[in-house]
Amino acid sequence: MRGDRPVHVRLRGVTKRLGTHLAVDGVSLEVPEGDFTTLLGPSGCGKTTTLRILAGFYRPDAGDVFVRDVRVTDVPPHRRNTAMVFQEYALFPHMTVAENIGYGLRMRGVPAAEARRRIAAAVDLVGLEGQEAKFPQQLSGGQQQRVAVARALVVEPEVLLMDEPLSNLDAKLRVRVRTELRALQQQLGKTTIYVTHDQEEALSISDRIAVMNRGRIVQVGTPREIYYRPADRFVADFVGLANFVPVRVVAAGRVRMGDLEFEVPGAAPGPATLVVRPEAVALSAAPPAAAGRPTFRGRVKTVAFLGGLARYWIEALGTEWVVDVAAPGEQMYAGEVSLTLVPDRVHVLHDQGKAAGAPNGEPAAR
Amino acid sequence: MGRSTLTLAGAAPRANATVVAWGVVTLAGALLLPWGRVGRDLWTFVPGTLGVELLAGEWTVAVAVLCAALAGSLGVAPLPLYRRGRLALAVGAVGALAVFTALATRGQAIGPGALVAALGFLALVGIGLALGGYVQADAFIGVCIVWAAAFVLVFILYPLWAVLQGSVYIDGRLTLDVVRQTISSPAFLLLDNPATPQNEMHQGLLAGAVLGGVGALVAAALTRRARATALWGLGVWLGGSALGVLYFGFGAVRNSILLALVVGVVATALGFLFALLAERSSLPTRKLFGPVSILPIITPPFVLGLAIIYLLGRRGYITHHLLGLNTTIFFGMLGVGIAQVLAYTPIAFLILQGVVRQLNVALEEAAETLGANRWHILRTVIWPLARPGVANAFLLTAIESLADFGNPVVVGGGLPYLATEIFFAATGRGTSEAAVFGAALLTLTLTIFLIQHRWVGLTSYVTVTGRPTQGVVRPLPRTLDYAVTGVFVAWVAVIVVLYGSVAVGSVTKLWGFDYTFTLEHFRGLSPTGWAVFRTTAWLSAIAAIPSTIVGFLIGYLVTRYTFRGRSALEFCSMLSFATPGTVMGIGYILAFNQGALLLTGTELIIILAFVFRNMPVALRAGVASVLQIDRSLEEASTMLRASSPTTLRRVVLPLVRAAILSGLIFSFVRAMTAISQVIFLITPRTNLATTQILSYINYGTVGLGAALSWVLVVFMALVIVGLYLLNQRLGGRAAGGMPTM
Amino acid sequence: MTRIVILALLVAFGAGGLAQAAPAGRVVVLCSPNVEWCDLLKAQFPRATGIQLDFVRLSSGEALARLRAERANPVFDVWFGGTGDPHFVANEEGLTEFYRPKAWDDLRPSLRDAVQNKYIPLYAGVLGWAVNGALLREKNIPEPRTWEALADPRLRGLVAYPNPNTSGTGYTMIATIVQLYGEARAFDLLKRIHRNVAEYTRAGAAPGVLAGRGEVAIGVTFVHDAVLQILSGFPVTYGSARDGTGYEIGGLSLVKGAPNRANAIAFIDWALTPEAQALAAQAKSYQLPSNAKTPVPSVAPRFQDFNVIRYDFPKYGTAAVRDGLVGRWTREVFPLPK
Repeated sequence: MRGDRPVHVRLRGVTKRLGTHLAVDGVSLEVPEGDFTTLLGPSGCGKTTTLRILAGFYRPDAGDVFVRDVRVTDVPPHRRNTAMVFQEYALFPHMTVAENIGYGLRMRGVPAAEARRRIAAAVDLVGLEGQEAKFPQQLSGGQQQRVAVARALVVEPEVLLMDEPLSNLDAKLRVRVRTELRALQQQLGKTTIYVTHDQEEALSISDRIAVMNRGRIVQVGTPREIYYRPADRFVADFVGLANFVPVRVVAAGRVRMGDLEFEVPGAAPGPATLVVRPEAVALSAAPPAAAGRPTFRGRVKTVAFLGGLARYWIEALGTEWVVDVAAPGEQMYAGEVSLTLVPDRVHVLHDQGKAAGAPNGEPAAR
Repeated sequence: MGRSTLTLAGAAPRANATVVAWGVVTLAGALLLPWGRVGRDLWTFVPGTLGVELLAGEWTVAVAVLCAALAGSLGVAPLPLYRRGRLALAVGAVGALAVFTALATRGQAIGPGALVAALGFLALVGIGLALGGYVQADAFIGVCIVWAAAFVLVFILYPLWAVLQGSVYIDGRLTLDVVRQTISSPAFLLLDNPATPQNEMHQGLLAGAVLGGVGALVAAALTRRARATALWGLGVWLGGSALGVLYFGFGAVRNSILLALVVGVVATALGFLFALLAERSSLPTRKLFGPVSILPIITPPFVLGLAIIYLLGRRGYITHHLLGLNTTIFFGMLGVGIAQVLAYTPIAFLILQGVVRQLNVALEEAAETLGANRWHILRTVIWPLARPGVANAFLLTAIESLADFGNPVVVGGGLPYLATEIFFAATGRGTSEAAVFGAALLTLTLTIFLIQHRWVGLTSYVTVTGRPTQGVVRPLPRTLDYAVTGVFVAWVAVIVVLYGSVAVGSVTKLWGFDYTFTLEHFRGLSPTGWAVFRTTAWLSAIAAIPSTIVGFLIGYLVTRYTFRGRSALEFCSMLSFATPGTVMGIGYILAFNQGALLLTGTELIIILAFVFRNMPVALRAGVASVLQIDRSLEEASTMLRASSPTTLRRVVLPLVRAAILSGLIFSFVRAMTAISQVIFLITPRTNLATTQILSYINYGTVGLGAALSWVLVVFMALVIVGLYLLNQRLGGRAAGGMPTM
Repeated sequence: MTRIVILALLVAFGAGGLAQAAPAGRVVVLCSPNVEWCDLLKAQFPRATGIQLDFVRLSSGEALARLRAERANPVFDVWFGGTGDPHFVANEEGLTEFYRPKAWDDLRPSLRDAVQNKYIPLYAGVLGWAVNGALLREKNIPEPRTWEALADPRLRGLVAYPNPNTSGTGYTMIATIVQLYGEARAFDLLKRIHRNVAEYTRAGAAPGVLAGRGEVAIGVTFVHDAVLQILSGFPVTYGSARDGTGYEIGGLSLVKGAPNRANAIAFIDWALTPEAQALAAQAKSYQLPSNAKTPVPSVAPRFQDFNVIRYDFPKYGTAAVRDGLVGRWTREVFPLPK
């Protein structure tokens, strides 16, 4: 999906100190043309700072930013051909929707007739027909968000930057708008760099995700790679829920957990941590039956019914497990249960933090 | 896409244009405009001082011209942006140095050539700073920062330095003689009066010791803890001794400090009560607070003092006619104190109103659910939360009292006060002695200002012009409500009577003796009075515009950009607010009376004095309103390719228009009523209304003074109302979000 | 950016543009009498000569300070009016120069002799006091006839005189008492008067105003200033010490290095003509005009009605003597408790 496309935006060893705080610490990243890349991480991880370096609001202390192999590190924001959608939308309250959308065109000296045409097209694109003369305060949150997107797109930026654009919407609207955003991006094929702290949003919207922690990129990969093969415990923990079980890889691909032994392809010998997603465990009331699949007994402590699934907290092997059961229906487990791991869904982290089989953080190698 | 790549590559040449433009402007100014001016005339130039003519003879000019040419060619040289920035910085700095050296050595007043060159080189320094990456901003902001810093340096810091220097550097040599003579003069401070048999300082210390003992006893009785007893005893002893020594002392320092303390306490207490009343009263009198709090702002100095004389003097209407008293007790500190409390309570009120407004009602409700009654709430919730604001109000009113010139002059009873002694020393005994008094007053107010700046911080002024928020009003306890309303009504009555008496004075034959109605005083204003009024209004209006622009710009720079010296720039800008006008006045006289910066005797210096004195008002309003705008609005504009001046004009300005307007109004009004600084600077063509009023009063033609005062009050009220209505009309388009005056 | 440059230059120079180029014929006067008089000069001088006149009104102390401050670069051409002593000092310090006017021979010889070519006598005024008779009668105190009488304990809080630090009138009073009684006795008397003083005023005319308003019963001032209060309708009369009182010779000086020297000389010559001197009365200034040919207004106090001492202007006009007396007063009298 990516290999055939040229690199559009590249960060090389970018470092930025804000005050005494090292906000971005040697970040390198390549974004292929037309790709939707998300910077994901907890607050304070440096993702927004990275985005602002891309926008040109910050000049990196070290490292460089390239757009199509042109070094733009010193180019001020208003000379870069990027556009940005802000968290609070940053719509000008004293301008109408049309004026907001047309602002960038005006700054570029686009002739009035063409500007009108492009504004109309942009309004059309985000489905705001009939709202052009309104002021931002008169629109709903979702509509305001669309104006912000239209304002960014209408100038035909090379790169679209989005800084948590959905965080001000309520939960349901957020899901809907992010689907729309994704569809719009695919329709236009616009290279997009997106910042969020919401892992679900990141998983659902991105081509690729760069997970950041403490100013560094810890893993870059497709949503699936990030979810199923996290590079380290931080990624595993931050993206989705996970059970962490100390294990020992006794031989290549052979994992010992307590007195159970089973195959996990690619695991290298040594002490390790097994990452088990809640849905990678099957529950049954019956005692262990099938050999070959690792099964052990546990005791249900609490259960939460969440509609589409039921979440169990189970005491087993001396620790607490979180287990999700899809489509639980009427039947709920209680007391003693059997837990069975699905081996191709579990993942081994070597205790130095290196994941077995997945070299860390080197997007260039991919 | 090809187009956009082009713009990226084309980014560098556009920055070139700026450098080239400034290089050319600087070069043209330096070469083709005269460098020297004749005396105080702004438009008469020394012949033969065009840059081209000086080039051969003066190496500084030659260096400057060379630098300008270099800067111009820098713009077209194929250099990376960074390198070009650094070179522009270097060339600009060298050029500026050359110009300054030329100005210092040539001894002539600065002409347009040198001015353009100096500003041009400073602009190049700013561009260099921005392009070279020393400040996170573009060239425009870089230039603004450097120019703002230069203006603050020249028109605020340099005059203050001149005061300090003037007190020890006399006739070309460093000496402490004048300092020693002045501080040993009874007019300055006398702790032990040799003219009396007793030793006043000992009396003061004794009183302090007694008070300390009493304090310790009270603390012991109340807390029954040794530590509290010792601390209270020590505290009251030290404070009491200081107060006692002051109380029994003599001289300007004593009078000014005692007055500031008392006025600060009384005005703050009244302000706090009135703030509670305005926000929490259930009585209709609340509505009066708006107009009453505006009144002192538009009142020329002397008016209250004048009214006090006529109402409370030995033959005063109230004291003599109504009460049958025969006393001059209201001349001196008591009268000044009353006038100052009347004038400064509204300042405390405006600060504390913001504080009371911001009190979270939920906290009080929480306290109530925990079983506290309203008195408890007042004592345990409202008061502790309001305490920083109260401290702030106290410090500001104390500064105002220390700096006050008008009231001590009129009702001071001939006693010395620091602010007035500066003027009288300057006009009777020499500028060095004035400088010593100035340095003393400056030290006092700066100390207070530093405490205020450190302790209460930046938020304090914000509330003065901040936007009102509508919350649930919690009514005051009924008894408190009625009691404080009583005080307020009395206060309003006093105000009405005082202003009314001035109005009566302006239309009666002889105030106090002959109450026949006459318009002769208004007729008597012609020609001098009216001419002076026109000049004052004109100069104030002209000064209000740069004052607002510079203040707002500095406010914007310090809120939105980080650069080295940012807080220093803000602090120094605010310094002119904290500096008493008489100190700044003597500073301007000392600083701008010779050499390159010769400006005394021109209208320009009065305008500059207005600009830099009132700029902090706009600065504060600017900071407050810019802080209310989400920074991402400007970033969005920038991302859409607007340069920073465009962003300022299209996004920021429309959103802060109301704040700018109120900055304009206040700058204008403050200039109209200014006295203390400009009394040093008035010129043949630019006598000002306030000094004219003082002159009328001094000669006993009080009717004229009252008439001119009323003309001023009415005019300013009309201006304020007019601009306010204009703002309302303009405010229709953008819905909401406008801070009001 | 270009727009910004232009705007900046406009701001930089626009303010300066207010000051139009000065008209060719102009004289700048430092004017120390009351504003009305100055206004009349401003109106009449151009009519007589075609030269425009600008003035700043500053009391004589302020005026001297201003001249000192601007020594290197004088703004003013002429110093008109004000007590003589500061004119003396200004001449001593080289701030002004003596010019012998055309009307020199018409000036009263006694005044001419007294100032000894340090400045030009413009007018003379006798030191005395404004008396609020009503207040005195109320307190049942006879009107004082001597300086000594001002120390009468019954006058407690009812006397005002100008602070010699700021007022030439105040200094004239102290110098007069010193010349009458000798320095030691004089200061003893001043200390006793101090107990009665309600206020040391800044300006010389202010005690008369205070007496007029009834704040004090006796306000020491020049009697022509008291006349002004009387004519304004205030219930006061004037009086003076019968055992001897001082007087002032108001000065007219040419500023050294005056920017418009020729016009300044024209102004001085004009100002000493009877017509110009008569303007004083129009402006309610009732001093004795220095030109003997000037008609003296009927309400003006006459010198022969007062016991005027032989005031030693050259001695008491010097800065050293003045600073000595004023300094002693400030140290020994001013801070005394009342």
